[in-house]
Amino acid sequence: MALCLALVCCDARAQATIPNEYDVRAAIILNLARFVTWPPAKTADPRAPFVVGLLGVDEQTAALERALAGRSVDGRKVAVRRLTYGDRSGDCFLVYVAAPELKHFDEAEPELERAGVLTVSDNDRFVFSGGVVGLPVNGDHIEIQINLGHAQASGLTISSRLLQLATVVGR
Amino acid sequence: MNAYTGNAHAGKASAWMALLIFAVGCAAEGQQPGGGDLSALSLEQLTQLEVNTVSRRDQKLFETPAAAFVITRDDILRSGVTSVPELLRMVPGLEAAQIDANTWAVSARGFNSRFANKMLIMIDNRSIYNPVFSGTLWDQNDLMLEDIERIEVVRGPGGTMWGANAVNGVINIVTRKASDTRGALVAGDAGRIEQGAAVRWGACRDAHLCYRVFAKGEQRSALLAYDGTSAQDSGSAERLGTRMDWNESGNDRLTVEANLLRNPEQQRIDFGYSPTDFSVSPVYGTGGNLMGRWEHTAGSSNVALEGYYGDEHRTEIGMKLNVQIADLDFQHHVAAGARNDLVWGAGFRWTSDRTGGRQTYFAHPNHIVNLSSTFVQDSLTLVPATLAVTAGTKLQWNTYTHFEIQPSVRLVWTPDTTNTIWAGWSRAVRTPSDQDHDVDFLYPMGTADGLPLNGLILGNPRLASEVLLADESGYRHRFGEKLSLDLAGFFNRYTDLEATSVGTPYVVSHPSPSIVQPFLYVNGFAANAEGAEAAVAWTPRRDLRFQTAYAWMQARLVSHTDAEVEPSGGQDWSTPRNTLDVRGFWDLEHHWSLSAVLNANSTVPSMLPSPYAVIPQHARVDLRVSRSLGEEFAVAAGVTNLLHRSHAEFFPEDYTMNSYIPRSAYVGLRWNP
Repeated sequence: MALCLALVCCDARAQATIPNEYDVRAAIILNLARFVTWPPAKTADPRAPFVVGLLGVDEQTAALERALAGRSVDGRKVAVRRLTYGDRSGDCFLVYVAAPELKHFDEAEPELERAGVLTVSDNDRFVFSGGVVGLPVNGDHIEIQINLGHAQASGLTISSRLLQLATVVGR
Repeated sequence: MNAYTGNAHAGKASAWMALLIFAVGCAAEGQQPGGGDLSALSLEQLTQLEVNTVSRRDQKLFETPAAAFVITRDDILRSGVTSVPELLRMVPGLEAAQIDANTWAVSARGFNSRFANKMLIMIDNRSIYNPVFSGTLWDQNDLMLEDIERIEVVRGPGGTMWGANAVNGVINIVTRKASDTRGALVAGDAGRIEQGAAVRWGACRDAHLCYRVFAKGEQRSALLAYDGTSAQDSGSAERLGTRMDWNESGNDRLTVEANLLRNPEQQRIDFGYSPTDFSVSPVYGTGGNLMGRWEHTAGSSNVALEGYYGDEHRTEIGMKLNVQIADLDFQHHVAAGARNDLVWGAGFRWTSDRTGGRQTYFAHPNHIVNLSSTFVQDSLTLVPATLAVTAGTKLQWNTYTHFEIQPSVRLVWTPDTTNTIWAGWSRAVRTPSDQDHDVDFLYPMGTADGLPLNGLILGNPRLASEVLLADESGYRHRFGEKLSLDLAGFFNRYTDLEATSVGTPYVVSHPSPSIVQPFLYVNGFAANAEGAEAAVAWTPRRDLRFQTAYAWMQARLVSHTDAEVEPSGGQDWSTPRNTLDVRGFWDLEHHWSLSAVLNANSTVPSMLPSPYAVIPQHARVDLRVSRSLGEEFAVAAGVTNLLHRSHAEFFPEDYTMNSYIPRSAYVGLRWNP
């Protein structure tokens, strides 16, 4: 124990050269918005905030809150809303579904699709169960999965640049 | 917690001095962690970035309502050990004590013995518990340590999910997927205690099918007897194995594993606990096993079917034993409704054993034991992300004691992301083994009244299962991102523990006069055991990590029959009251890394009539230094048992004589072309 104290008393922050998956995923989500076009009904008011809904509580939603604070997307200020099961989420542009809430996604999905919401999660089955974008860990990096069918059903257009980077399913 | 921080600040001046002496630069580069850097990267760059996924595993572990611990691949590679029991020393509440060059006593929360029968040990969900020995033969079940992905250890009853004899704990050794072990690997090490070499080749035929094959050979040198001479307990192991993973469309996964093994060894055996009155006896183990596992995922439900077959032979103390096991297990995991997470399953196991050889051991030379079981477990979310209750039960039917039921209820409260509090109550049983039921073993005990005295151990066909009622609870706390604490406590009430009833000796005149002292297995003891376990993980910097495990436990055994009884094998509580394991890992510049382990325990008690039975408190220190040379090579050197010329760890109550483990040095090499 004396050894531990002697070696590590300085308060310098650890240099994080391998970032953790939550921060990287949050950065990817922030970037995603630049390559997605929402249906005209949603983007009618240019001053409306870019509402991001966080459904559920876990490490990832905490990292998202940190990464999104004070940001803007396409000239809109980002507004983060914490959602719980049963909340109305139709005014969100993007909803992130946390792992503990995935089992409720089936019920919420139709409403989100009608409202043109971009749904994102970190689970590798998400795009097969109604989600638009999945961001699972594959090996040691984060993979982008996009279900084109679900995107089209929600009225979302995905730029070809993003499609090239992603694993596309559901054509 | 505050006291700890207080010390650090107060001692800052002297600590800075120490830093200079150690010449460790504390680089305060002022980089923003996480998001600050990442937002400047493009999407292409972000998807190519290597991410640290340790947090994900840690999160699951953080919320689990059980005393769980995971030994990671990093822990394994940095430890320099050559066998699984040595890795188990870092788990709080586990006792892993070496008996001789080939044998170990491993148990959680007490009742440790070479034939510890209250632990379920598995490799990829295949049980390696030997139902005839009623224990785990560690020497016959080792594997290439480089193939292990992680080892999951749960202290406490796992009877609901895993069934009978998962009473004090469950250990599951999870091997790496074939897709993670591609290419060639050659590894070798040589030292005073052990020399070994292993070769592995893995490849993926296409995106869906991956496989690997490996061969391993190991020679264990003889350790020392109490007087420093050879303990004549050398042994060797040969292994051949393969794993194949087939992954079709992400919905279906099939895994097949096969292994062949061969273990020629020898040991000193002694039935009278005298350090000079022993014989050297050969041991031979050989066999093979085959396992297949199919998993199907559909939406939020997951179905798994696993089957395995094993055929093993063991020659020991003149007894030739053949065991065949066939097992089939089914499990279905589904999110049922808004708040439920349901798992249920069914299983069947068929075990057949045959004994032969000049030494008879059983009244009947053959046994067939059938075991059918079904279980159900549901996790109900009472308050989303905050409070959940898990309840379940296993219902089992076995040939010996028929129906057994093992229910469990657990509660977990996560008020925020830095705290978890859990509590559980379980009932678990240890069903009798072939030996408990049917043993008929005559062995020399010395002389009495001028005639040879022989002991006769008799099994009891009416022996009931041992029962455990366990109350457990735990608390976990995260102090920021670098320090975590995991506490667990238990109070175990055992009844119907197996004991040996000392019968009335009688004289036998045929073939020649001798006295026979009969011992009969009975359910003769109750016990109350309690303890507390703590695990602290501290990563002050990315290149420096410390891990501490501490356990305190004690027990009281109370006889609950009128007859004169002694606790039978493993029941006489030979677990030290305090155990401590402290490890440090340090990555230096130029691809060097260091690790240091301190492992200490207090006196290992024993009620056996030998001056050597009680093992005094001892500590061992192991050091290791390793270096990567380019992408392909890594070399390592180390010293084990640095503090003493030799020491003993365990005095078994069975016939195996324990050895003294000497100080030893070793070198190792890994090549990944």
